[in-house]
Amino acid sequence: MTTETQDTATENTAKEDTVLSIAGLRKYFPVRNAWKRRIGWLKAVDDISLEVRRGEVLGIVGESGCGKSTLGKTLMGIHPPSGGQIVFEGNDITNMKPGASRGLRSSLQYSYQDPGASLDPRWKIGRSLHEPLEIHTQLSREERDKRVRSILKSVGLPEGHLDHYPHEISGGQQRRVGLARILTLHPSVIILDEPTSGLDVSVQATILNLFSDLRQEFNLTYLFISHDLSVVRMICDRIAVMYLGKIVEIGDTETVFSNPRHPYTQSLLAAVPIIGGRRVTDNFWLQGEPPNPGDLPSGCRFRTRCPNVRPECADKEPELRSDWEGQEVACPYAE
Amino acid sequence: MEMFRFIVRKLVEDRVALLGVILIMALIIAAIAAPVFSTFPEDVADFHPKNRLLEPDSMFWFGTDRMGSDIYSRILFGARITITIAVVAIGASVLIGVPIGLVAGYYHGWFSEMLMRVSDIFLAVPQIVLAIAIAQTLGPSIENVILALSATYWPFWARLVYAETRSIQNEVFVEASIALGASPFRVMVMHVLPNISSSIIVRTTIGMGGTILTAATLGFLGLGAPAPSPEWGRMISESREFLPEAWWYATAPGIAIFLVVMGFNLLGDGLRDILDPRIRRSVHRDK
Repeated sequence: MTTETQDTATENTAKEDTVLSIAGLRKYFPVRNAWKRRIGWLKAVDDISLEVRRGEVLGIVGESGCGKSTLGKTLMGIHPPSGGQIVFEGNDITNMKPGASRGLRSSLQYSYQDPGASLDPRWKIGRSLHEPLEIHTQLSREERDKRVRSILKSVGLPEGHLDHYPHEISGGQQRRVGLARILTLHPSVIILDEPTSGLDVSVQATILNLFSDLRQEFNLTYLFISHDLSVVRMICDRIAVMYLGKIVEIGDTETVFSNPRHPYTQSLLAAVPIIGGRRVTDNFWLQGEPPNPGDLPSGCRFRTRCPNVRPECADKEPELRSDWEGQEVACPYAE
Repeated sequence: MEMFRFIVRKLVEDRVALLGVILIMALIIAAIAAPVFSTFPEDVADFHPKNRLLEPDSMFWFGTDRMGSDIYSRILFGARITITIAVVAIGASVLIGVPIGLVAGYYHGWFSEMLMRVSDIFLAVPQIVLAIAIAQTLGPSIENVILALSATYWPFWARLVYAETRSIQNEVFVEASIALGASPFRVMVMHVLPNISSSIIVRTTIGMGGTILTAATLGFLGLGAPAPSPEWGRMISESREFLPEAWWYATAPGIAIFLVVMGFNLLGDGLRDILDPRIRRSVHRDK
């Protein structure tokens, strides 16, 4: 009896714990020739399944062009998905446009890679911060202003900045404004797209601290898209490694970093320079460019660059194997 | 408001554009204060056969026409017709062309294609020919000149706004607003339109000059306002019988048209230098 109640309880918490779940998500872009005839598909996101738990920071890492940003934008509904399902807070949002079903969308937000460019150059910061509230709420001007000012304080910006134009403030401040703009809606999940790119190291550190503080203050869940592994290691609870639109390894950050099992993850981690460590080139075997995502190799898509490649790799696409505690790997030969 | 002050400051620095502003101001003042400045206000309609075709002198500054009316006074009143035609025709073109270009540029699909193909058809027909056809069918009057000009001018704004919308659409801030949940109407009116307004302002200013010239052409061909009207194109048309002896008859309205068209073109060029986003952005970077 007791065990039964416990079981259902754990099941319930497991369900409640998942804030965003993705099943078999695909985003294919048509590749067209000079006569606009489709000659193939660019598989930017190819059959990705993920569960994002409430309150966690899930890192998504991979080389440029592996589909990290496309994954984020497909989740946001900026790109309509080609297949699969996205369930957010228990609701299927797969084919909803960002404007539709406002209540839901307002709690899933996207923070742009270049926050300066994501602000209208002709709008003062204050007006840009008011916009999400104008769209999603019926608040009066004074109420909006009150909320904007309190958020501004949370992200550590002086109120005087409300009257500035985006080009008049620094990159780090633009990042804060970008965050404030999203936070006014009190979202539960924020997709952070390369949130530290283009910032110098000291600003990076303060921004990362800000992310942690905001997460506690507003009970946020982050999807942290980045190619900067040292930052990911510092801030993420779990990481998913993407290669050409597919997740090749996913697991707890420490497990993956200390014991990477997929050959791609191994080479990727070996590329992180460590002070006093071995020279990067010694164990960095990843060579060449990834294959053209519009024309993928058969079977395992990593086999063209894999050091442990076998003839069987060309036959079948490997599935994620959950043979280890807190770690899943898409390679049949991983140990 | 800041924008407006910025434009005024830059215009004052740009001597050539300032000349354009002065010429346009002169036209506006002439139109408004025509009864005050004209020496023979009643001469717009009246005729005095004994004063027929007099050379310019201290009494008739620009001479008199075939009816014996004072050309100087008629030119001042003609400014009213010129301004009315230009403002109403351009205003209508902007009101038709801008929304069509905005919608066609924002959405991608058969409807956008259709809108742009329709405007292409209008662009393919030579403007004067289409205007003549419309004015000819509906009869000569100022209203029909305005109608003909609006019908032929709107595709220029549609094309311009279409192209600018397509390019601004790729900017991250537009996508960011859509991601925030902004409606298409909101994105078009509050984000896209303000960011392309400078191109529209420049095109509209230069378009004014072109419209005045076309209106004068239609007047010259006898398709504008009927007989006693002091329309500048019509005045030149009337003068043809008396050239070259009555040289002043065509000269005064000719110079008036020339100065006004030049004024709008100079101001348009000046505004383009000030408002062109590429030039402006480089100015910001230098700071």
